[in-house]
Amino acid sequence: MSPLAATFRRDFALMWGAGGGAMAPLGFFLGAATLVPLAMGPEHALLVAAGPPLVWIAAALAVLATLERLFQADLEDGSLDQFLLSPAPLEMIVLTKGAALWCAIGLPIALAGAPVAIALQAPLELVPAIVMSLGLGMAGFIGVGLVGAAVTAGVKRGGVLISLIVLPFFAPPIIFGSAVAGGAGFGPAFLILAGCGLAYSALGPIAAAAALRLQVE
Amino acid sequence: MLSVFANPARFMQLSGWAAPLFAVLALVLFAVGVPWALIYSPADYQQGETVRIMYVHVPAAWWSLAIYGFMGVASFVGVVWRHALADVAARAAAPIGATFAGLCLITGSLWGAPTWGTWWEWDGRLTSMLVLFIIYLGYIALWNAVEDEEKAARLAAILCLVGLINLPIVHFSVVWWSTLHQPASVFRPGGSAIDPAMMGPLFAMAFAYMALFGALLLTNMRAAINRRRVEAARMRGANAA
Amino acid sequence: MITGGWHFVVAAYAVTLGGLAVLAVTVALRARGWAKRARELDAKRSAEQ
Repeated sequence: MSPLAATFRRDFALMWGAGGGAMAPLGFFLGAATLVPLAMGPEHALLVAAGPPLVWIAAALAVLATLERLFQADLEDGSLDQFLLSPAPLEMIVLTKGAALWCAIGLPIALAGAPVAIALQAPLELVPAIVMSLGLGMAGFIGVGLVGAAVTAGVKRGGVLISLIVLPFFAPPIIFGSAVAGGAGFGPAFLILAGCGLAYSALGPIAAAAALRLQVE
Repeated sequence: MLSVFANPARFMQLSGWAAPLFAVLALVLFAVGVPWALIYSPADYQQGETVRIMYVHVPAAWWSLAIYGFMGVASFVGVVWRHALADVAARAAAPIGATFAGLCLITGSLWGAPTWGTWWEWDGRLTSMLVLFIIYLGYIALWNAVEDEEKAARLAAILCLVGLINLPIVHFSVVWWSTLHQPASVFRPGGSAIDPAMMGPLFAMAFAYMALFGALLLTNMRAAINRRRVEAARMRGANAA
Repeated sequence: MITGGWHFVVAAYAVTLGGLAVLAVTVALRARGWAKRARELDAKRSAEQ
């Protein structure tokens, strides 16, 4: 098995296996989305006007909650040294880890975005665009999240620090994703979001790999 | 050019007189700029006296952005050439840039109250400034969180460069977003052409901020170099004992 | 045209100049403290030699 396929299988299995598995971020996403109408009041008109974009807040928080241990565990148990010895370039390994995270967390949350958006009063015809934009946005969040997780891998209890570092970078996907969910559908906002998501997930691993090389020095 | 500054002893010698020089320059420029801006400049035909807030708000915005750019350049030099003083410079600039960004936000709010009729408007430029302020906080927090200083410098440099790439994207998206959500009739301070009589105090204040940045940057760098020497000596003492 | 508003102007200048002054004083005090300790170190070294 190639090193990349092995990394993917290992990470995917770890995420499904440990600490409540991938169900935990999914549950977190649903829980955060449930708090939205509780904060806004159950009034129908208010939710129709402002509810659907708030899917994005729940999704962003769910990603943040998974980032802290992403590279910390690899640094502690020596997996990171193995990655560096591997014939595959570190950038590709990091990209693979990101892909595994997307499959374990990003995809389920994007799919769960459909019922959540409907519950937040999104019109049915918008739901396909919301689900697809969530999938792309999660790729962007994870791409930036890799950088945040990599630069803080050596910091004990770095969870809040990661959030502080990563949140400003979440602004563009949130802006365009919310526009999609707010009624723009498959318009220019969707295309810009797709560009953002792909750019972040392409550039994130390069910066993250550079940071990880320093962590093992 | 760079190698002139590579030697810390040489830097200490140069900055020993350059920092006070910048400080005096800053004091003089503020002493000229503040009365010019407050008293000897015209009121705006639309905004009245409140336009005077521009002279403290706009230079803060310019320099907080420029300082982040400076940190980006210093980080790049630090990463590529492993230039020790460049790391020191990037770290020393961050609290100054963050303060400028914070002051820009506060004065923007004080300007918005009379002109927009609200203390905070999610205007494109103010929102980007808020994002920049948070990026500064994250950068400073990362520096403080990583114990090994050498490693902290490299990691912070990576974060700074990633942020530098991201900043135009954030700015573009925030501006796109605010024009989408905001009625076009909202009054925008500084959006229209500036009266030539306002250029004088504006540039005086801008240069005052720049001189202050120069003085504080050099002073912060000197403090960091002295601190490293003292800590290195303490480490050696602890190892010898 | 907006009339008055001087108190906003005064508040903005007070916050700016006050904030910059606090920053400058903090930076200067910190630098002085480390410079003092570095001088003590140099003095100790030259005494040892």
